[in-house]
Amino acid sequence: MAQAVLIDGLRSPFVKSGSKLNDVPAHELATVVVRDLLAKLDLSADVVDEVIFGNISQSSDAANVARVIALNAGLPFSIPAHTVVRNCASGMEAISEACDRIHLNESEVIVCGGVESMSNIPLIFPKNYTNFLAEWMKAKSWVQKLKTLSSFRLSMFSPRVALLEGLTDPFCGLSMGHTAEVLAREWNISRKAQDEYALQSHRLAVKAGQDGKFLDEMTPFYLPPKYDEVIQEDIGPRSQQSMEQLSKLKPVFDKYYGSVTAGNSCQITDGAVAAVIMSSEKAASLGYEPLATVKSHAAVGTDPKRMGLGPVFAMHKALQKANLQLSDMELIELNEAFAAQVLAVCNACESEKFAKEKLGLDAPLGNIRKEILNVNGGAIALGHPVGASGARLVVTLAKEMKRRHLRYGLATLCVGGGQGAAMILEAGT
Amino acid sequence: MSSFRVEKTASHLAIVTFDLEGEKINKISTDIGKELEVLLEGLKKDRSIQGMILVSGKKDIFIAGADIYEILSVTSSQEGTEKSREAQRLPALIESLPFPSVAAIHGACLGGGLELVLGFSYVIATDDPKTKIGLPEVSLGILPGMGGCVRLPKRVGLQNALDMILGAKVWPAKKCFKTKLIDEWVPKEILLERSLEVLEEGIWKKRKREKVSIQSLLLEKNRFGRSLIYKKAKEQVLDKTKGHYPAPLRALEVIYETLDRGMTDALAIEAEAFGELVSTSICKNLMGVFFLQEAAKKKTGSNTPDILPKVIEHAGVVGAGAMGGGIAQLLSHRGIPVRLKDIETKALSRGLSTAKKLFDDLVLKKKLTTREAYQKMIQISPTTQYSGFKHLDLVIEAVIEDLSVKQKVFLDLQASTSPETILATNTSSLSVKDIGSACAHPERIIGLHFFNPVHKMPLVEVIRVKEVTSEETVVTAVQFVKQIGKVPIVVKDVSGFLVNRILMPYMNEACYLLEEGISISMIDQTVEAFGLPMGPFALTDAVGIDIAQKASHVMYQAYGERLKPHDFLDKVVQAGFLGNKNNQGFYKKDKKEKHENATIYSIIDVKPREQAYVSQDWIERMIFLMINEAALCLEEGVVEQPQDVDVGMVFGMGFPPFRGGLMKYADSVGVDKIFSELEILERRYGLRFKPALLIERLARSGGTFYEH
Repeated sequence: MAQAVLIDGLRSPFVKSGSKLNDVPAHELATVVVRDLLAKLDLSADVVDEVIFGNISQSSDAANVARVIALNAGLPFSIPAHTVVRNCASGMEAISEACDRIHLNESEVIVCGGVESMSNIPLIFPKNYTNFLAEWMKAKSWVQKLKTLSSFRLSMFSPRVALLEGLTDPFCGLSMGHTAEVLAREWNISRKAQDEYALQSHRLAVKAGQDGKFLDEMTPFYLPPKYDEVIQEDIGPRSQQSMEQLSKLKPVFDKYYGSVTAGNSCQITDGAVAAVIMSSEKAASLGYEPLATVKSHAAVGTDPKRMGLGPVFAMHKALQKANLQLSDMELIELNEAFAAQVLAVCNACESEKFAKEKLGLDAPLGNIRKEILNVNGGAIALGHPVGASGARLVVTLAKEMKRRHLRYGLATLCVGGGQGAAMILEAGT
Repeated sequence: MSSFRVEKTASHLAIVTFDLEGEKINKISTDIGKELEVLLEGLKKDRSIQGMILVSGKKDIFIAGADIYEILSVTSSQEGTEKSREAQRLPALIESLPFPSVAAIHGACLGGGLELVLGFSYVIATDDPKTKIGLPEVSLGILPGMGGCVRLPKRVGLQNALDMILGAKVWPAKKCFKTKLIDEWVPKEILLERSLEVLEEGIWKKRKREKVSIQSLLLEKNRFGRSLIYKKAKEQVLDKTKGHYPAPLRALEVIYETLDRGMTDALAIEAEAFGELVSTSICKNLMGVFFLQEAAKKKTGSNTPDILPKVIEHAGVVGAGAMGGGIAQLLSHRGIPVRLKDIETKALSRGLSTAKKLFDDLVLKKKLTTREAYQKMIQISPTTQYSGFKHLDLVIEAVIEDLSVKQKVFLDLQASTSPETILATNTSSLSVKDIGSACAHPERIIGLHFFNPVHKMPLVEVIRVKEVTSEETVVTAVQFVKQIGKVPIVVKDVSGFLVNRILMPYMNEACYLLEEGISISMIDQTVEAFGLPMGPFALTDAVGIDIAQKASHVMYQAYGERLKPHDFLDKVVQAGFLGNKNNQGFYKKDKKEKHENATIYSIIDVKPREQAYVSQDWIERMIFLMINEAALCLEEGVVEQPQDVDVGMVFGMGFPPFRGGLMKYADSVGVDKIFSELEILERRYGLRFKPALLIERLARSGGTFYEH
């Protein structure tokens, strides 16, 4: 079986929604990243076999966004492209699928990644207004028109917020924040522990930025329409964040008894990530030295109400596939949807009870040491452009593994709707 | 005689295919007119014919216009008028046919082609982008002389007609349909099918009449409104031509005068005016410039025909200043993705802004859709590293005019590109050889000198380093310049190349005139009255005084005393005056009003005289010096022919096309006169007027530049 290797990855700055990238649609954001990655690698567009991109809130004016990105980035018409959705793991799913395509010998060079412009998730007219408009178009006579008009209600103008609807589980009806509250209660995670974790995320992200660690994975974004401004760093990490500020914030989801606040949840963000996956033979023949080999990847399903524990199951499956132990992992990127959820995952990994009941194991999965977890900060500071984050974790992980000369690393995310996804990387080929 | 084929259908329709023998395009000439006349008379007599369709046998060309060589050969106004009268018979003959006629247009339909079409009962054109319809006659110094001035206003209304004829405009099918110039626009696959249908089903009878709007009632349909339109149009024409180009004005008069006349009268007036214009030297010069451009487009840059150019698919630009940004925009506009490199993101951001503004303008002018502009814009990828340069076919360096900086860039490029990548410098005053001197594979190094502003100036000087630059590199560069829609001339690697070198003594002389107390604006106005788009001081402001000053010293070093720069530029630059870029130049802009910068006079210690008259001397001093420098260039083989000089001067500095070019102008003045004037000036002012040997030789033999 062909080996799938990660050649390199690049991302846009991650920018808080509703701010600087407010008027930049998702496909434009990703086009720049794909264009710049190909140029950075001096990779001729002709050798690319296909394009796979993850994206959740697909915009109606850029259906199959992967294709729009590929063509705008200057890839030839002949290269096929498709878009994948596994909610928060969509970006990782694109990379996973790329690896599968390599394993199947279907492709040798794949441009993949993820993108989300949460600024551009629309408001939607309610269904009764759509019905009203349809009736109005059908009405021919004045009588019919008057009759239709009389059915008009002002409430028809109150929009549905697609962003909020997207962050609500369609099966159990809980919002993502409420699923975090469930975990906080069940795993007994205090508000203070959550806030401390959040503060740490900001500190690490700020430091990583200051140390120039993101320079290699980020391409400057020249801001349209005038191009007179350049965004060269993430807008999200707060260098001045303090425990005091965090502790003052009110719980957003369970206003009375909850502990999940805007401060200890991930930020809503716009961003794009692109990566190039090749078969190891092709990489060698083109003269590229890969960042890492994709050792295994896995996706799992779990209880939607406790979607935050998805990573535990996903890690377990990916480790099993790679024939490795959690203790073999020298670096872990675990997406920070909520501080409560990250801490619950850590607890579950160490829990013998959980191992027995849920994983069917005699011993716990293992210990996730704080020193190797999200060492450059996570989504609480950097933000979580939902379709893009999965790809960022993989790219960030690979680059940090290389910096530290590590052999194994793992990236994993919880997935809204009750799933988990994980990927294990091994250094070199 | 076989330029027309006639095919009769079962439904008794005649399909006439125009396919000019031995040519790639269809054009109308006296011979073709006679042939068509015979054919039409024949059809007229054939009682069985129910209708006629005219199509073209050429790919993507319907009728490109009248034969310009024939027009050029006209020597007197009587002859011109006769030619026009003869040609006018064609659309009239079509109008008089006893059966309906359909013009089925695909591709260019210009000048005489459109005038012919105006005689048809029904006009169908394809919606293809290749289909372009218009009357560009006035750009060649004539007016539509086949009834176009008379029939077009009746078809599309007075204002639209003026817009097309006076502006020498060419419209796409969509606009033609909207203005009712054509009756239908259809996909090209069904053009003939639909034309047959139109005749067979009598659809041609339902031709849409000109729509009468309130605006047209108020303006075009009454005497008062018309005179208002006339006055306005006249103002616009004078504003645009500054009185140098008589054709648009004459066309306006003809259109206005013939509005209410009968056809016979009207056509006579048109033919009269055509004859007048066609025999002028202005018309001949404009056509001469047209041929110069056509000839420049045909040159490959090499005398060896088997050296083929490489195709440029990917390019890089180093330096994101005004030139770099402009070049990047031009390339991406022409479909070539560009890697744009500069030292820092701020500079790149400025370069991208420059490009974006140009794209915005194109969208505003409806030359591009927003979507197209985005897709082109995104193909300029900014970078602070030399990444993504390995697979580029061509890199154009456009950093500051500093030899060591440019040499460093070329070494970087050598390291970051493949040995086949052509490396070009956009230097305006440095030696191309020096810039690439440290590089291995110098055969791929060349100069590509664009003019500022890049999107407006049509010329690019292709600078070949003698015995270094390879033939293949030259041929590729010339082809590339054509590919991006510019006009190339191949120039030797001498200081200032061709255009800037010729400009230098002229700018210098302007400073001497200024020293004598003639005011800045007076000098500029004199030059503008001669026909140049701007005077020497306005030009220096636009280029940047510091840049002009730097160049003047480089050229002084190269050419010695003859081009010793006047010290005014040094003084002005020392005082911090840089021109338009810091709004401190010979002119200053206040609230959009541009006026002389009074402080300049105190810096150079000159009091401008009160000057009541403009002297012909001034122009002679400046222009004759240019001619002299051009003659030296020809002697030294900087370019091969006087035609190259004229291409350079017309498309590189805007030397007035109605004068045919600098060398053409010299010939019209008389080389002997120029020689004797230069001798007088040399005695009066010194060495800088010393006539070139070539001028002396031509003067003595009574020859001209064009025929030496």
